[in-house]
Amino acid sequence: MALIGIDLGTTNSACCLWKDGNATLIPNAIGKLLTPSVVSIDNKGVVLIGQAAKERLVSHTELTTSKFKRLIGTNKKTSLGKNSYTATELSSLVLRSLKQDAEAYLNCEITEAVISVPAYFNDTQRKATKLAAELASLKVDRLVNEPTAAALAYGLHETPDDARYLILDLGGGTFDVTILEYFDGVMEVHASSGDNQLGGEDFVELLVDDFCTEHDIEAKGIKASELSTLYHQMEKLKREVSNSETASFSTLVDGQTFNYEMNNDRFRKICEPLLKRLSFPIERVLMDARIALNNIDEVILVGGATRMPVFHQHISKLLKRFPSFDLDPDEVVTIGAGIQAALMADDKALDDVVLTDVSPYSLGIEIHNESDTDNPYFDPIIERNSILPTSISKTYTNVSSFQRKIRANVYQGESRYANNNILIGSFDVKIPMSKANTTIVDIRFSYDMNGLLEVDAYVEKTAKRFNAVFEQAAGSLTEKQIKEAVNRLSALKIHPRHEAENKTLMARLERIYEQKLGDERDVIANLIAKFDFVIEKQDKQLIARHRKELCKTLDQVVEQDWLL
Amino acid sequence: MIKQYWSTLEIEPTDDKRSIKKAYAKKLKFCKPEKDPEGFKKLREAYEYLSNIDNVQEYQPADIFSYHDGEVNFNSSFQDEETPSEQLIHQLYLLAEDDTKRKILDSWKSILIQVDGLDIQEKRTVSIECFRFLLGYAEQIKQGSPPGTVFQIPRALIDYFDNIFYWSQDSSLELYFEEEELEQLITLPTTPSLKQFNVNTYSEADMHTRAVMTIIDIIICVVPALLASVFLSQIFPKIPLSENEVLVTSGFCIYLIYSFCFEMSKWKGSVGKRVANLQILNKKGEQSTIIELIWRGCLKSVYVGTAYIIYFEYEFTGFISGYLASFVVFYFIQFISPAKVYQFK
Repeated sequence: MALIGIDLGTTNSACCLWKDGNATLIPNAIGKLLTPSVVSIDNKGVVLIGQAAKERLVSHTELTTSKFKRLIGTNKKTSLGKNSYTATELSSLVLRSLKQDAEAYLNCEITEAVISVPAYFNDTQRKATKLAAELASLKVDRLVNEPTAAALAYGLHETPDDARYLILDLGGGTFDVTILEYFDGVMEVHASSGDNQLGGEDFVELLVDDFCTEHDIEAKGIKASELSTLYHQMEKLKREVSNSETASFSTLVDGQTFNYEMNNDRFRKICEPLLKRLSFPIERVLMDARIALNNIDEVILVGGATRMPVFHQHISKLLKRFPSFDLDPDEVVTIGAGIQAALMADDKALDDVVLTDVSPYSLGIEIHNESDTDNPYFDPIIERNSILPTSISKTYTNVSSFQRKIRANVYQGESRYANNNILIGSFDVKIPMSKANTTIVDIRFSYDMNGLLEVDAYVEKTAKRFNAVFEQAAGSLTEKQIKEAVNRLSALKIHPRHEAENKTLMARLERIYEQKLGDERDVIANLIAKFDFVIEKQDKQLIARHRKELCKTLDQVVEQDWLL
Repeated sequence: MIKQYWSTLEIEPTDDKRSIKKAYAKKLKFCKPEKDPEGFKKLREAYEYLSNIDNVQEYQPADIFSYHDGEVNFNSSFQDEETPSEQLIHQLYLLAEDDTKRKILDSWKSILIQVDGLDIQEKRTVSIECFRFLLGYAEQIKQGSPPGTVFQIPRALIDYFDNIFYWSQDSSLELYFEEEELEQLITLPTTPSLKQFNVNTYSEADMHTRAVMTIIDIIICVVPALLASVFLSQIFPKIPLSENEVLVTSGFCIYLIYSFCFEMSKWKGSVGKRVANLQILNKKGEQSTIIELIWRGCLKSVYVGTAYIIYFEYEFTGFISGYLASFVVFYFIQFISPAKVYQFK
């Protein structure tokens, strides 16, 4: 029995185990530490997850999907072949694959896990993540905020005394900011903030837009496979601008070749709107934590997208210092999740470490005034950055005479007006008929360390208690629906682990085939045929040898810079 | 109370923040937030209270945020030692005074270019001060415009500021300015894109649908009305009313009871209204109370009664005038009715 930590990311996922006082990342079936969060279905209806699926993004666009974490908590379905799946179901497939990797690595069954989520994930998104784990038959012991996990990893890595960190976590789809103080083994999160819809993928999106305007092409008109090649190359370009000053590529759209060149200045200019949005959460945490910029000891970068030099330059300028990343930004969160898992399992080595976390947003209910019913106010009950766990109650009364019930609309957000915040659920409280402002209702919000909210209402006159069940929340399902989803997912055939290496390589070959032209294409076609022939022979050693050679050829000759 | 706090932390009263923190850290190991939430809450309360008693230096908010009531007067001479952000704001106020220069966008640009060199906290201050400045400047221009005309800040200038500070995306401006003030300069950010489901949206139902649906209700009431009128004329053969009058009166009574019952129910409207997704709600958008519904029934009787009386007084010509009169009454009633018919989407 082991408790593992999982980082379920927008682009990549990974899992980690705390063993003998050290956090170890668990390699997947093809020996890599990061598993791309991509799901694909092959012609026979069998599911591929991870690198093999990622390769198929180009060659089998309609049968492959990625970045579904951005949709988690919504009811939006992604179609894959004949069926369509919610983001929760897709995430559960990735979780299942991680679980299998860990089981193979540790040689024991795994039923519990700690999963990291962006600090700024709302209640619905958190519940959906929990559900995804449930569908993968994993019990979630704790949802840990990603920047907090990163802080845990750094805190243990550096064992400082009395230091304050500003942690910036720019992942594929979300941006989180956290201020953390470390003293006497206590890690205290002072404030968290973030932007739910800002991540590395948005930068790529902007570049693709720019490509389309430059060449006067309609993005909608581009064929799916060509578009995905374009994204693929943009992603590469984004990283290359990082290393050298300029980068360029040429791609094929509708039979025509287009060139695209990018330098650092231009990149910065294109991404300016996104870079500006980065400042708001940073300003807010500094303000909320009441800590001046010069009192921050270190700025820590987490998340793959923080590798972009444009991001670096911008942050250094804003914060007037150079950020540090001693640990691999792709792995920090996973390591942190692993440490959190060890904390949950009461590991002896971590006995002296205590973590306190905060609620990154305000939670409250909608209130009405007699005069103003069109644009109701939002009344926060739990203020943002309150330390967790917390439970606070406030008293409300009925607005009008003869009112039979009070509807408590629960919102999350910072705006004064309820409508600008995010509705996370609502429930009715029955009250006795009375004159206006005479029936008193106590509403209590309890928010736990997993970021899950419970709401109680107590009516004094009738001495009745009402407990909030957020049935309306999108993404939450009934027992029956969960059962159905489990059945549907278990009916899916998934490629067995031991075939993963072959499948990944084949998918890679197919992708390269799509991307190349003319003679090069013939060469790849040859390689595919040869590889197919070797697989048919079912001689494990021969296959392994052949695979190794083939990988080498591909790495050296065909594409040197294909990352991961 | 304070004594209790000290004993929770298990230390002697002291004003050394460091030792309070140390004691808190030590105690925390025994009541971790996930293992002992209640104990943790108590400890935290004590710690927070004690470490904030006299608010010593350590957590002083950065002074650049304490701007709230700092009115900047643009005629006052500034102190010798100005921070870069103060200088910048000062220059803006000076430029606003200069009648020729201020009309050239480039002269604004030459000042605002300095923003690039500021760190995130200075930038924040400057952003808020610039917003305050522009509000004042807008007022200044309005005041200075010749009678009969209202001059405004050129849109290009506001856009230029917005481009630098990104006000239109900055929801925290709400903390510093009133909504009206914000709207003067920027278009407010729209609702977050993550809003996942809508509360029922409804609008007042149009007359056409209401009329058609009422006909359905009338048809439903016809059969019981016929039965009732036959029944009534059997029991009271000497009733001083014509057959028609009995039919209409009993029919109307049945209609009133029928609609009242359905309006009280979960459907919040009669069968016809249910078909078109109409509901009767009070002005607060909730289900109407009994009193409101009785009141609604009375008002209904008034206008149906008007039409009825006029019709029977004037025989055939009354049909048209009765119709018109009831229409007038109907519209009048719309204003005093406590409940309204809403159409849900």
